[in-house]
Amino acid sequence: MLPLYYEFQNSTKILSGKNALENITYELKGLAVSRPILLSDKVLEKIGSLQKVIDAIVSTGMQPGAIFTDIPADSSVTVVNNIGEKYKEAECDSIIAVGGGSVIDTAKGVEMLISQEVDDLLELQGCESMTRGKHIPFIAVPTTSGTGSEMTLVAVIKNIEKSVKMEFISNYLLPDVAVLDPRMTETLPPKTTASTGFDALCHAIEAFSCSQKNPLSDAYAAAAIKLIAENLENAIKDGKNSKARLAMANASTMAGAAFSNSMVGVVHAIGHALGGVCKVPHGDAMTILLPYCMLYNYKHLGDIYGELLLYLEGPEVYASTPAEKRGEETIKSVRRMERRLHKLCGLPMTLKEVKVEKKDFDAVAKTALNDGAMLANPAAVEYDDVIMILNQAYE
Amino acid sequence: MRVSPKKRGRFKGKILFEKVIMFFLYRGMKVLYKYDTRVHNEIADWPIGRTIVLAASQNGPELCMRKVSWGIVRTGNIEDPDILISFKSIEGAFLVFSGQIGTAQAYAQHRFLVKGDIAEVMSIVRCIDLTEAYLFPKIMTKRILRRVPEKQMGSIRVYCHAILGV
Repeated sequence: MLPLYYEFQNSTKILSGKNALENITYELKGLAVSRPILLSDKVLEKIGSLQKVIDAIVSTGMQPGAIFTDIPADSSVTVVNNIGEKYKEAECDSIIAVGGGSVIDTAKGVEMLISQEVDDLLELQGCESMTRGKHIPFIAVPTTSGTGSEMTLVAVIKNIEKSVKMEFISNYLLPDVAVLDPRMTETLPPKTTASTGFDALCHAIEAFSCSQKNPLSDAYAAAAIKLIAENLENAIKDGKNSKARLAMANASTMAGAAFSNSMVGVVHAIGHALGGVCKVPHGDAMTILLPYCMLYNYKHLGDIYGELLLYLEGPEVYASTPAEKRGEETIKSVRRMERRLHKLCGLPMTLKEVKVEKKDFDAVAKTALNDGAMLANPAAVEYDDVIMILNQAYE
Repeated sequence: MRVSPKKRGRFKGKILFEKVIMFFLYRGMKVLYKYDTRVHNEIADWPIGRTIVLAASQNGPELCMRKVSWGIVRTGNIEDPDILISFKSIEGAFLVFSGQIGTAQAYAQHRFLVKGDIAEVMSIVRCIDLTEAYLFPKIMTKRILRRVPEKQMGSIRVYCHAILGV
C-alpha cells in the first residue's frame, strides 16, 4: 500500500564485484578531482586492506594527496578537525573512506566541515536542516558488511569535550560512490561477520516495518533479507568465499539504502543506548534485541513481518504456512538463525552474555527514549516497555 | 508571478488557524507543566535558558519559547535558537495543527526539519503529544497518537486555564 506521502533518495553510485577497487581512479576523474585524502584505521592498515586500495589507485594512475589512519573506534570531533586541517594542508580535493561505520562517519564529518565551511560541527546538528554546501567528492569503501553507512544519510560523531553525541541527518551526507569489493571483507573474523551481518538484517527488517517505509525502501529491504538468509552462514563458515562475501556486502548496502529512507525503530533506539551506557558492541545489541523487539511490535506489525517469511525461508515454507501464522514464524525464523550463528561462532544471544548489568537498565531506558529512532517505531514505546524488553532479553 | 486568489485566501486562513493552535499549544504546555507530572518532568529536565522555536514554515508563524526556572515563557523572535523545529510548508504544519496527522507521522513524512540536539527534540515532541492529548478530542488523538496517554486533569480545565492564562 502506498503511504499518503513519502520521500526516497539514493544518489550513490554502486561499484560491486571483482576488481571494483581498480575503478576508483576512473570515478575520481569523472568527479573532476585528482588529490583524494585516504581515511582508514590502524587495524586495516596493519592487515593490508588499506594497501589493497592504495595499490588499486596508484596502479591506475592516481596518487593520494594524503593518508590518515589514526581514526578511533568512535568517530570524534577532534579527529574530524585534525583531518580537516590535514586535508587543507595537503591541498586535497576529495575523500576516500576505507573502513567500517566509524571511518565512514568520520569521513562524513570531514565532508561536512569542509563543504559547509563551519568552525564547529555542533552548528550543523539536526535533521534535514543542512543545505548542499560545496560539493566534496566522496567515495566509501566499506570493509564490513553491516553498517550500510556507505548508503546512509546519517552520521554520528562524538564531541568528547562537550560530552555529547552529535547526530546529523542530511541527504547531502550520502557518498558519491560506494565500492563493494569482496577483497575488502575476506579477512573479517567469523564472529564479526556474524555480528555485522545481523546488524544488516536488523536494518532491513526495521526498514521494512518502520513508519517511513515505502515501496522503494521495501524493495531494497526485501532483497537484502533474501541475500542475508542465503549467504550469511556461508560467509561465516568460509571467509574466502567471495560469492558469499560479495552477497553480504550487497545486502548491507541495500539494507543501508532501505533504512536511510525508512529509518530504524525500537531495536536501534535501545541498541544505541546499550552501546552508550554499557558499551555493548552494536551488532551484538542488534542480535540480542531483534526478536524481543519484534515480539513487542507484533501487535502492530504481525502482517508486515509475515511478508518477510518469504525472503527468510523461501517460497515453499511461505506457501505452506497459514497467513495468520506467518508473522510468528518470521520471528521464530530470526531466532533460529541466531541459534545457528551462536553455535557457529558464539554470537551472543542474551544481555547477560555481553556483561550488561540490571542496575544499568534505568539509564539505558532513559537514553533509549531520547533516541530519534523511537519516533519512527510504529508502536509507542515508553519507559516501562523498554525495561520489559531489556528484562526479556537479559537471560 | 502571483499566487491565485483562491490559494492566497486558503493560505491566510491556514496561517490564522496555526497562530491560534500555537497559542493553545504554548498555554496548554504551560498549564500542564503545573498540573501534569509527565509534562512537568520533561520540561524540568530542559536546561535553564534553552531557547526553542516551533515554526509553521520558514516565513510562517512561530512559537518562540525560553526555559526559565519556573517553566517556559513565550518570547519574541529568537534569531538562533538552540532547538528549531520548522515545518517545510504551511500546508505540512496545517496537517499537524489540525489534527490530521501526529508528530510521529509528520516526521515519517519528512514534513519538518530539526536543528539542534535530536535527544532534546524527543522530549519536546513528547510534550507536544501530551498537550495534544488534552487539546484534541479522543476521536482525533486515537488516530494521531501511537498511544493515547491517560489525562491527569480534564480537558475543559486545561482550556479554561489556558484561556485565562492562570
